Amino acid sequence: MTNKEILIVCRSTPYGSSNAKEALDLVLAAATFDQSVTLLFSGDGCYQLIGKHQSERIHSKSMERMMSALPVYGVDNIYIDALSLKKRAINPELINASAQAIDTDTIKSLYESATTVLHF
Amino acid sequence: MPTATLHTLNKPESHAELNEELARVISPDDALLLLEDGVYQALRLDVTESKDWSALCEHVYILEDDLHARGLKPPSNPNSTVISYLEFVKLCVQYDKIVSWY
Repeated sequence: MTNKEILIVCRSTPYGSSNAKEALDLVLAAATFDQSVTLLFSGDGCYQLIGKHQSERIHSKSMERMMSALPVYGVDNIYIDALSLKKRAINPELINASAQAIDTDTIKSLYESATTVLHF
Repeated sequence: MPTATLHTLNKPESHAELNEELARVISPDDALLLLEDGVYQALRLDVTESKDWSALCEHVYILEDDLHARGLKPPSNPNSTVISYLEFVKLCVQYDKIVSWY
């Protein structure tokens, strides 16, 4: 199998739809097959990385807990769009430490270097 | 005599048109309840330069289960109140009508 550089862009809120969970399922599947995966959170996807989720209060599986499995699967390239945070008045200190805030130029280069880009 | 309305909003601010339309019709006597993904808009309540409904509405309620499920903390804005489902039901009874923005 040819190795791909997969960029997965999470643009949805964690519990408003099933998009966030489907993205994560794909990340874990791709990583299992030793594909190179980069994860970018932008737009409403930034909300996925805020604080400590008490998702049992809305009878949902914790997206935050599922995300904590990523390093085990060797997914270390996790980024978040600094501009999206600013637009949403999200204090960067609230964001999960595993994600690195990056600017527009860096995001552009992520899109350019990927062989496959998937939006969720 | 004008009647007071309870507006409910369940989308984040990226649904810009929803926010704009709400801002056009909301009155100072009305209340707004943020629920589901709408609770993300509570993040902006402490930011003063907002010009949309958050500047027009003096009674903003936030559903506590949806807020905590998403890892958010209650805003410090004095016009906002975090409420339970039971209090949500009470608001529904208290106001003359309910308008759902979704």
